[in-house]
Amino acid sequence: MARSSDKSTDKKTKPAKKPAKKPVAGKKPAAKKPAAKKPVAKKAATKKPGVKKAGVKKTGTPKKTPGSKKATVTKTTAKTPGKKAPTKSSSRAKPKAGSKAASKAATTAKKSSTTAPKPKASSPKKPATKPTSKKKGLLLRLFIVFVVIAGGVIIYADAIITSKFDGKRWSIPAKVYSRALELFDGAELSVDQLRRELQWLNYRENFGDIKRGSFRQRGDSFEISSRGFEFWDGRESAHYISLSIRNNKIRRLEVDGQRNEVVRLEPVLIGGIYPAHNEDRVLVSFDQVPPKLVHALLAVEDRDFYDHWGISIRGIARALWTNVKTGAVKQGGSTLTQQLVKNFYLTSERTLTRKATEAAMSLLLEMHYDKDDILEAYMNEVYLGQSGKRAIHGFGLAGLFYFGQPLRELEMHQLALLAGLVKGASWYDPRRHPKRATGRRNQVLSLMFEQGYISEGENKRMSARPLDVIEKPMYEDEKYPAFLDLVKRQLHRDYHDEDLKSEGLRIFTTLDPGVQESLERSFSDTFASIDQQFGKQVKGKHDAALQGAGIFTHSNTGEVVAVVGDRRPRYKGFNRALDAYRPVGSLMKPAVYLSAIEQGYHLGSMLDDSPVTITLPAGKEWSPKNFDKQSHGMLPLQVALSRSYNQATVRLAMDVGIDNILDVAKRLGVKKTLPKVPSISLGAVSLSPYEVTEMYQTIAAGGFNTPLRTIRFVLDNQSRPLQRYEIDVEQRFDSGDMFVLSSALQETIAKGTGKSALKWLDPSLTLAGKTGTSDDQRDSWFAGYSGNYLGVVWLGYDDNYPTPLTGGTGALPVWAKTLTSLAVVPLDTPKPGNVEWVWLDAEKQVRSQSHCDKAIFIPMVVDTIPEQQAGCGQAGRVMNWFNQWFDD
Amino acid sequence: MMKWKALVVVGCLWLSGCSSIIYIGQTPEENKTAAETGLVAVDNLIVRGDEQRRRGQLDIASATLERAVRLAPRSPDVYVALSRVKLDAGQYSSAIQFAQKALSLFPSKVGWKQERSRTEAQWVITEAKKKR
Repeated sequence: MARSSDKSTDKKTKPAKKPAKKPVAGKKPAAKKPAAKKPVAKKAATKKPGVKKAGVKKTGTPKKTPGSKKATVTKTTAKTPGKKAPTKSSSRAKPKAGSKAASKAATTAKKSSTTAPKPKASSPKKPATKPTSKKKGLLLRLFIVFVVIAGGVIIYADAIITSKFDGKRWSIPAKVYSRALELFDGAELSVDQLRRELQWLNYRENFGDIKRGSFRQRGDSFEISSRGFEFWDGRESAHYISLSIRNNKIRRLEVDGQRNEVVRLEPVLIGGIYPAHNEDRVLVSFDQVPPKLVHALLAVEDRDFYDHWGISIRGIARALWTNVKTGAVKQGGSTLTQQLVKNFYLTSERTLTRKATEAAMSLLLEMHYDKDDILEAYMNEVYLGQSGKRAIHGFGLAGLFYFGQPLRELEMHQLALLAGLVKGASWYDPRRHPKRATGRRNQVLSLMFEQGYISEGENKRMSARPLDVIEKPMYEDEKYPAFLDLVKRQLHRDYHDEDLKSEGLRIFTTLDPGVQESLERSFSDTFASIDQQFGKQVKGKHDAALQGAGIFTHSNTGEVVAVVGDRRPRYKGFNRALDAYRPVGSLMKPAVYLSAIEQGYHLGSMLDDSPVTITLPAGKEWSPKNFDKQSHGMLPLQVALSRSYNQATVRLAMDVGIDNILDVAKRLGVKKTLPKVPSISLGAVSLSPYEVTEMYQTIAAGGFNTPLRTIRFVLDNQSRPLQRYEIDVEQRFDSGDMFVLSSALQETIAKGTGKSALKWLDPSLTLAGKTGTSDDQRDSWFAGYSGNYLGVVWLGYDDNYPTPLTGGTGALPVWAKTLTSLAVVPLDTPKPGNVEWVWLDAEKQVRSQSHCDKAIFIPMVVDTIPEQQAGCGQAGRVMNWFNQWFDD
Repeated sequence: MMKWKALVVVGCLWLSGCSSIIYIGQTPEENKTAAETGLVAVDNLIVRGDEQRRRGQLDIASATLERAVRLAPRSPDVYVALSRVKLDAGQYSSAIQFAQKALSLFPSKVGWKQERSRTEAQWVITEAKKKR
């Protein structure tokens, strides 16, 4: 028993714990949604027959003796209560004998005894025995009352112990994971991306043999030993993976020596949903705990654990001796069972009553459960660190928190450190006090050596190792707050808050950490360059910081892969991506043009961009102007959209009808009721970036409404499937019409208001998008998509202060820079059967030829293609060649 | 002479390959072969999902094919396979939608394998409409 706990330190105490624990204990797991949520409790229940086994084990050990002696004494005392009085009086007389007063008193006593009527003292006569029997009767009654009360207390304590130990022991916060990276031949992946992924998963880079959870890199080739993971569709086993990366694509992937496989790495743990007391833990069962950790824990905390009955007289004596010898409180005498009882059932108050209760409950706990069960509970309960508000409990989570690895992958020196932290997690915090932590770890190792758990050589080798603690915890609660906020909102539709905070659910989301970090970096770069470019113009008299928000999704599946809700991405407050409702400006124009295309307009239809005045129902007049304050006369529809001309758009909107535009907006995915006013065509409506994403998702997916999703599936704490969130599609627009619209939006980036994107992105990607700028440049928007990503970005001030930015100079660079570090698939939509590419003379509205002057090459829905065709002779061919040459 | 015979044999073999094309009205069940997304791993997932569907493990099949959708989101074959799962699951509206999604992703000119896949998507739509 070398428990060296210093009780004067904070250590295992958890100030916030007890008030929160009580409601948990009173919880009825049966009322919870997910089934079978008590992994450990279940195990304990199945092990109940082992109680007897434990009893047998105990009776066979000599260490029981102190306990049994005590039991015998109690028994004797109980059987002969009457004998106690003489014993007590004789013991009382002893100190009196040492003094004069005492001898006087003794004489007086003798005298009085001699003067006293003899029968009272010794005669068996009735009058003399009556008071004694009365006394005996009283004592007997008192004893019975005591036994009844004590029995009641024991029964009550016993009920508390079993109900909590058999029931749900802890509230386990839900764990939230990112998407899992899929590896297969042909997958788009760069060397940097793979290294980053392995870093997020805390894979160790090895140069010799690779163990589970490690990798080796030689140039573009990787060898990875994956850990394996439980997914919805079953377990992805641990694999030995080898692959090469060439031209940002995976080549020659082999999984356990097999080709043509697809394999998943584990998802990255990105956060949790915590109960009010903020206790976090990852449950481990006893068989998942490395024996070395058990040895370290026993060596340092309770070497007699397997020999005592819950309390250890020998341990107390040893601690007392050590403390007396050193003159300080160096050791505590509590067993692991007592520590568990204190942490699990009692408070940490230092009173004799609490200590007595702790001892009694420890005995009861040991009577009911076997040693491994108790040790398992201890290893899941113990407090081992703090991350902000989040308290780290149990070795399962501590392994991830300090080393980023599951327990089974930890080495001896790491396990020894974890065992050492039990004494005082904040005092020995290896991140803040590495020297102190090293000393403590080496103390544990040396105790292990002394007790024969490790050899001298191992002790020396391990003591010389660095702490190997990761710089930052594996996941931080506030790392992706905007995304987690969205996940929580979606979860709350299907789960009770209490279930999310206590049932240990495992939530698998769609977040791609690579895209998320790329989006965050792009915001940061863009804010820096805006500050540099506009300087005081951005701040001016206005002190508030320019804000931003953005969402990226997979354009075909609607899976949200990244969300930023604030200029500072780690800020956990107002989430602008979801809650900032801002005028969308020209982002609404595609609804106008799509409505027109549905009604038979085509990209070559001529629109009038001369000044326009609309008389509103109230009699007022509305005369919108173009952003450049110029009029552009007659021009093809494609140009009007790609250059975002307001006058042409308003005319078109009045022609197709506001009702139709609202209907198209609704079908695109705008859920809120939009005002039926002409200005809606220029985006006089406030939407959040999330709502804009919903709208553009339908456009990017070729007219198929694809609801945005952040969750793929949810497993319970036993990794059993609870719920899967399926991909859903619904065709809301004709593929031909969408192809035509998408072509015009591609023109926006090729030649229109979004062409600055080509500073960062290859034109061959043929990306599509739309800029949006609200009145007085209060809002800068951009929505754009490739073959695999859709991104929506907003910049502006929270208080609507004007900015010097347009959609093209503010939001667009964020979008474009984000894409530069991603594997972007070109937007190469197959041409639908009802669409033909046609050379058109837009002015004459006749089919033309490639060499003809002013001929434009556009996709047209077949029933809008003019029948008439005009030629232009060879001169036109030459002129057109020149025009094209100059255009380029 | 031998050359001619060899040519005839090769020609017959080639023609017999063409004969595996299915036609509207014929259940494509027996004609199902490996899909062609251009990514072998994704093709394998489609085949696995299809096997799971045949075994009646519709939920798992759906999960497998959604995984394939994520890997090759612009492959019509994946959506065709998914539409079959929805059809078997009695989710007729979804089956139609996924089949339509597949049809929207086929290029206007397709090879014989894709033609077979396109025909299957059309068959799913017909069947789902009949059963709905």
